[in-house]
Amino acid sequence: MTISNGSVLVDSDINAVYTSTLSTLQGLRVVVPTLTWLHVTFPAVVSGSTDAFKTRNIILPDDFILAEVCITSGEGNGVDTITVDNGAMLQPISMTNTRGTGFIKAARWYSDTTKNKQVLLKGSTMTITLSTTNSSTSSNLQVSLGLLSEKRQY
Amino acid sequence: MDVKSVVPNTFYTDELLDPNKVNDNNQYMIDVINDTQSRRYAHSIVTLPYYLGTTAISQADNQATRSYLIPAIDDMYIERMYLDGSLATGAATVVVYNATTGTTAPAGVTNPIFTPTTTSTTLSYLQPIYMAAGSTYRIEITGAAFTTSKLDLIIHFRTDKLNVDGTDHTQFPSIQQFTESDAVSATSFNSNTTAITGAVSVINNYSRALRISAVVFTDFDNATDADTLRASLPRGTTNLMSEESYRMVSVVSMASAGSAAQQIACSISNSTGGSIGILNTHSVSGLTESQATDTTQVTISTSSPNAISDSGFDYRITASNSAATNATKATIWQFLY
Repeated sequence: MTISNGSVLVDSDINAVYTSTLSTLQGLRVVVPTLTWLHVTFPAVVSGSTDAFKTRNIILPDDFILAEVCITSGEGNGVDTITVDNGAMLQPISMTNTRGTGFIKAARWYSDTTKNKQVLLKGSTMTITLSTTNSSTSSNLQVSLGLLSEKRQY
Repeated sequence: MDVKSVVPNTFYTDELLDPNKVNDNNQYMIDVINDTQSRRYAHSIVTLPYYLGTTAISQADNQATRSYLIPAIDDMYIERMYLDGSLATGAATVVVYNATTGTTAPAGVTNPIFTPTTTSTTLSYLQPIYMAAGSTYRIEITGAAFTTSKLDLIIHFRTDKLNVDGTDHTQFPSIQQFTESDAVSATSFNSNTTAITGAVSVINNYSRALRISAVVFTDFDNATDADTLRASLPRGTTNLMSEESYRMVSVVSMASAGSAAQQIACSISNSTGGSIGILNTHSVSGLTESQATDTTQVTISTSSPNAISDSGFDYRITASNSAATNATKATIWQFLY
């Protein structure tokens, strides 16, 4: 909106400039929530593998909201139990996967009627543990966590 | 401070234009712009193993097997790194250097970055490493005689949403305050409006929320079609992203030179296996290492075949090998905007 000397300044025009600009700001990639993926793979892990190969410890670099949990199994057999916890989760993740079914994912936010979103705090250590009856070393399993950031000012 | 949808003051017909209200609204917009720009960092986590499946890596393995190449397709920082696990035997060091220039990274720092031992522990490296767009960095484990046990490198990446191209696009719009005794000219009124809308336009045009993830495939051959891992990109109307864009760079590392005409393909596709246009093909004949060029940016849109629902968009990350010989590893770097 531009005005010229001597023109009539219309209230709706002035209001519209502010409204339009705020609307643009609300949709900027700088402020909308962004998701980052943490992919952790467990290749060739069988029931007899050492505990070290069945565990991953990930220090979180930021405050995240747990948005998605997905598990993919490529080859292998048996059943997996995956647990994820940082020691402060109200509801640690626990999912069961049968090899060969391909891909499973939890409900959005890993939520149900008893729990809603969970915040995973910056600096906490996320421990991802696999318990499996798989016997084939020609196998792979991936745990993917979708971690959502909403306000990042540091 | 949330980005509100209304300014403090609304103007009405037949109302005398109060310069204080104009000033308040303009200042509010400046505050919102400043707050918006302060939310400028995006954080990502990547885990990279120094072992193949459960098979150890030793000093006898070639450089491609003992290292990871990290492609910086835009400006980004390794904010910090951790090395979690232990060696089985021997002594090793983990070094970082700019593979494009061959220089130590970060400049002025004496490598090694890590010195893992045979005691299971977590080591940290907290000094940021700046990665300029177009550069490639190598993180390599070396030593006279060593064997790794389970050893994971965890990288924290940080990107600046207002600077992924080497230029800081932060805006500092300057506005004029009006007083009641002013004879406000159209020029000064327009100048304030232009400063505000111009700043927002620049931020809108240049803000890019770059996030980085990676998947590592090991020992895959042409005897299986299951070297596919999947994930899900959430969608919906409840304050999640509308559309995302992907770029991809994959790096293939071979224990020995690839066979004649051998190709390794790395791709991202939709949940039914259909292409969404992201593919790196490596011709590895005679090579032990191959880094793909950056793919073009592909927007995951709301239209078919990438079915969008509140349950999300499921995609596949695939590595396939044309030869029966097992590739050592393929690292698929995904850049999400």
